[in-house]
Amino acid sequence: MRFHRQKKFIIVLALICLVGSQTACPFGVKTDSDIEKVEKKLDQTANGLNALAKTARELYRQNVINLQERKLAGKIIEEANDGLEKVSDRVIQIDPANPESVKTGKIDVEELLRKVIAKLNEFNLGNQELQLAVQAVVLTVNEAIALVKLVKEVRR
Amino acid sequence: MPETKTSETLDSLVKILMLMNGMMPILHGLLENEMATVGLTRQERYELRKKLISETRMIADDLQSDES
Repeated sequence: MRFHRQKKFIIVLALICLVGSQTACPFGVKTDSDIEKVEKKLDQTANGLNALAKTARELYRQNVINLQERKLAGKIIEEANDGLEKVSDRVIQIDPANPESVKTGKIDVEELLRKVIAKLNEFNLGNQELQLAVQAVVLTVNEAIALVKLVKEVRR
Repeated sequence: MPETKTSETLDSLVKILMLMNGMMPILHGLLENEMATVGLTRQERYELRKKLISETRMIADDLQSDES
C-alpha cells in the first residue's frame, strides 16, 4: 500500500517535471519553436561573421595578410553579411501559424541561405586561421538550412 | 505507531530529494540554454541580430578601404 502511494507520487512528480520542461513555465524554461531554433542559428551565424571580420582585421595588423587580401576578405564578408541580413528579414516575416507563410518562407529562406554559403565558399586566401573561421560560419549556415527544412506550422 | 509514520515520511522525503537531485543537471542545462535570450521576443532577437549585422558591415567596410 505504502509502496503504491510512493510510486504514484513519484510518477506524478516526474510528469509535472516533464510537462514543465516542454511548456512555458513561470521561470522561463520553455522549448523553442521550430522558427526560434532557426533564428538562434542565425544569431550564431551573425556572431560567426562578426568574428571572421575581426580576425581578418587582426591578421592584417599583425602583417599576416596584406592589404589586397584584407580588401578581398572585407568584400566577401560584406556580401555574405548582406545575404544574412536578407535571410533575417525574411525569417521575421514568417508567421508560424499560417501554413502558406511557412511553406513559401521555408523555400525563400533556404535559397537565401544557400547563396550565403556560395559566397563564403569564394573565400580562399590560403590563411589557415581565416579558413577555419569561414568553415565554422559555413557549418552554422548548413545547420540553419537543416533546421529550416524541419519547420512546421504551429496550430493555434 | 507514530514512530513508524515518521520513519515512512522521512523515507519518502529522502527519496524525493534524491529524485530532485538527479534532475538538477537536466534543469540546469535547460536554464543555461535559455539564459542568453531569456524573455526576448522574436522581434527583440531580430533587432539585436540587426545591430550585430550592422557592426560587421562597418568592420567589412574598413577592411575594404585603402587606409592601413
